[in-house]
Amino acid sequence: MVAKAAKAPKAIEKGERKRPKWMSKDNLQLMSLVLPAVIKVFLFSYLPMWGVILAFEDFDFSLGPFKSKFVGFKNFEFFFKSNDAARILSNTMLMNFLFIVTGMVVSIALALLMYQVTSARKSMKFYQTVMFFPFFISWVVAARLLEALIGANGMITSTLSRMGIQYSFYNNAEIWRIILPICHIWKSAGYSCIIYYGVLVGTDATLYDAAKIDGASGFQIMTRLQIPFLTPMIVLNTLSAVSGILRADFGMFYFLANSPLLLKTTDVIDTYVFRAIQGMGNLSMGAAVGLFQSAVGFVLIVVANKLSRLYDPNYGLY
Amino acid sequence: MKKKKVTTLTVIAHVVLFLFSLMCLIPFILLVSSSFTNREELVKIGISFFPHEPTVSAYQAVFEHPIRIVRAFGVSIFITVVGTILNLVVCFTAAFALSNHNFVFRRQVSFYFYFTMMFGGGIIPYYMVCTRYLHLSDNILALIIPPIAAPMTIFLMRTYLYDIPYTLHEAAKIDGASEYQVLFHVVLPLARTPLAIIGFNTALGYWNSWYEALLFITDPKLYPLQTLLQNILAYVNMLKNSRFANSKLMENIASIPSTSIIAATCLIAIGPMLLSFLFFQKQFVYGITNGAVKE
Repeated sequence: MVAKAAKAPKAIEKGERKRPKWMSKDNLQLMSLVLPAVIKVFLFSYLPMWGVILAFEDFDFSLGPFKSKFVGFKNFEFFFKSNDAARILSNTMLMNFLFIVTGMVVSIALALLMYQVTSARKSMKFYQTVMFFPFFISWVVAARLLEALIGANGMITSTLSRMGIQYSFYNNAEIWRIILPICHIWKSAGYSCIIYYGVLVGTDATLYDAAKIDGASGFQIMTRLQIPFLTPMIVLNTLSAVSGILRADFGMFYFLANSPLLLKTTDVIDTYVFRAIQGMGNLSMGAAVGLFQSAVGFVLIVVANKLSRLYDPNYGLY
Repeated sequence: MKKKKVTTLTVIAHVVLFLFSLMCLIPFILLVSSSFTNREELVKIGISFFPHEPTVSAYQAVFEHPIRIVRAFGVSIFITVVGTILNLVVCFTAAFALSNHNFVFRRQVSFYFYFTMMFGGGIIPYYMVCTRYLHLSDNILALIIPPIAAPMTIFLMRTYLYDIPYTLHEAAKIDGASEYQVLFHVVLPLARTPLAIIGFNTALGYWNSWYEALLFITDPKLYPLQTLLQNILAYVNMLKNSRFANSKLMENIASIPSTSIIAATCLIAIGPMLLSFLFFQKQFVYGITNGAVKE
């Protein structure tokens, strides 16, 4: 068996000469291995791509995408002239901007502080474990947790009312510009601070000792040494987050703030488009908005990648 | 640890981290306590850390009519197990091919996957394709297939496979192994850690998935846990805002699950994932820090 196998490559090589390289046995086998993924991606990602024609039609469900009337850029025009456009675009970008900034600041701060207490293994284990809990639950459950805090019977609401303040969080749209970033931090900071912490652990600790001997305070070590170490990761994360600034975390907005009273501040592109699917909006216009979102996202990713390579040739987003 | 000096900075660090941990933990404690609170207390006092008269009636109620929740549990377990295995197989084989120098089209195929990460048709065309042409409405496959072979996962797996010395691969080829044999006998045994990490993440994703069900599933028999939870919530909310209530809902008003029932259901739903996290924590943290530093 072994002897036979050892001769095989030569034999194949001879036979191969006439066949193109991609017809080789190895390559065919590898193609078969990648095929399931290629098919799945084709069906679920590439087929919907031609569905962008919906955005240029006056779509009629009974006629289907091929027979509906072609209207050109009318849907886009209609959307951008409507009051919805300003609201959902500004909501999406403002909310994402708040998420990016607050999330970044908090997770970097947590990572730096975590590094300070690395040697306290037991406390570290506790912090890490507990900080991961929110990451492990879905927005569905998170919405329930939020309600236990600020819902009608929630702890904060009932404490406030005992103090004589009647405040309904689910009736006041403005306060959600604060609530949602807190929720975002709550859910993701434990996860993202581990990434920064991982970078810090990978740095040379003797540098910090040397700085200490030279009289640097703990705070100076953080700002002058550790933050510069984190900068590549910060740049990378910021760029990839900014390139997704038109993409809202649908689950968060849909489950946490799903009330008509809050739409003023919490209606974002994704929830707007979803309402179109649910039949509460115009399907073609939803498709147009979706296409706009994809197209802008595409441009932003390409630009972000160019920028990050400019910053450091080794740091591409892809 | 004994030698370490206690500086102001470490004290601050402990305080801040402890407070943040508390902030992460408090909602869960409230959820637990609200599941033990009776209805009168909820209305009068609201949710507090320690219910004055703890009651297990919510859990009794959940297990008295267990059909819905048991079914949803079954659906969630089924999609999690089948989906995770399928995803691992598909992503692993694809990543193997993409990391393989003998694969002639690896650049083109990589780009093929990569492109979908940058551009998509949008959710409405996706919805149309899935419902009109792939017939995924009210089909259990709608809950299993969409998350499979996410380009992100394939590339992550490929990054891990790059760590396996390629010389092993070449040695096996010189000994006459086919690519399939290399996959099974050389790479697979060495890829247990990445498979475990990605497997855990995938399982978490399936267990928490609600998006596909929201889009494609209307039949309550096919509801996964998260959707069941979501619908209990929606149901209660709808009844609370009585202006939305219509006669059909009013008939069922006797069976409204109270806040504590929802809380109890939530706890039953998140239990398995949190427990398994406590077991896999080490690998999980390793997976994040390692996956973060790419190339």
